[in-house]
Amino acid sequence: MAEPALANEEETKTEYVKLISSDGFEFTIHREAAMRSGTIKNMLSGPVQFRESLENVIPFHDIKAVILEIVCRYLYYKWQYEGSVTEIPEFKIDPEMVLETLMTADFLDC
Amino acid sequence: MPKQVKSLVAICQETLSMNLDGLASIGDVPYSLIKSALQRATAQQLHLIELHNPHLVPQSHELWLAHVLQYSDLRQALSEGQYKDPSCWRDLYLTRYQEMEERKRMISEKVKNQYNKIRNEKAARSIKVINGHHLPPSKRISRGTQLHDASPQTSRLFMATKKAASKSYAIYNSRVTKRQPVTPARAHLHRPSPVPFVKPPSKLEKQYQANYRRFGHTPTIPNTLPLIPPSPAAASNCTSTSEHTQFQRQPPSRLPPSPKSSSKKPAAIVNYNIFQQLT
Repeated sequence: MAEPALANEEETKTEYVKLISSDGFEFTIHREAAMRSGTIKNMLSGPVQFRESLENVIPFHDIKAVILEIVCRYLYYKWQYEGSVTEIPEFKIDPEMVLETLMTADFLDC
Repeated sequence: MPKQVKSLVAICQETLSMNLDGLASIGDVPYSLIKSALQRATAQQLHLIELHNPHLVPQSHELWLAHVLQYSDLRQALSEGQYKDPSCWRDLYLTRYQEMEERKRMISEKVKNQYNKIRNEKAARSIKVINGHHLPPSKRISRGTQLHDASPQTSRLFMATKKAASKSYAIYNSRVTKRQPVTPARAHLHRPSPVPFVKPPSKLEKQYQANYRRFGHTPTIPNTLPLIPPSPAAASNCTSTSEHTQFQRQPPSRLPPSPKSSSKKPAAIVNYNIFQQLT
């Protein structure tokens, strides 16, 4: 994901979070989107002793980049359509990834 | 009421249940996660997945219940309290399934055999079209009737029709006086010609024409026939005197020959042996 132009460095720190996959890819997403995952939410806004809550960076040593990308896509999908009164389109997943995505989704509680 | 966005877990489970045919090894996924997907699997799919993932077997007994319940008699037995042990359900279903398949196969074999038998019987009785060249040659009636391979009965009928047709056509052929009888043997000779032609006059006809020219009229028979044999003078005019002269009845003559007029020339000279001469 390309990093957008940032007006205020202070605000961007809290507006975006960075998720890092096991193979080194970095995914910078809106904090709001990341909050849709229960696990990430706990990591970011839980007890302060989590390093992640200070730096807004979460490394995932078990999650591959392809799967993390699907998760990020889903988090935005959820953020966009939650509370919507219009018809919500189907979120499609590639059957090849479905087993790993299932495990990851279960882990991330989303 | 706003719709709830489905959780990613739920979406994954749904996608999985749609694609169970491609599922082989599930890897590290815990049974609890795929249970809901496997509940929607057919017996075939479930069986294959268990083959690929034996570690699931101890946990998947309950999944077979739904399949066992498909058989009504087993359903009955279950409600009565039999087969309480979940682990036996799998075998119960599989053996039952095998039985049904075997029965189906036998029935289809029987039906096929019967169908083939009936079909063979029908084929044996049916009319077959064979190439006309290989037919045995039919009996020939006569040289002249080679138009078709007809039976003698039909050929006679055909000949009779031809005869009748030619007879009716002969009305328009007035020149021909004497007609030869049409028999099957002479059928090939007698054909009604489309164009009427005049046959050359026969010997008899020639004689008639000669007499006509000579005497100016056709021969007539007088009312009274004198029963006197012709005089020797008249008899000498005959060209031949054969024993076969059967025409002893008085031939037509103008005047009976009398001694008085023996010196005179006879009014009519009739060749009594005309028929002899012509045959």
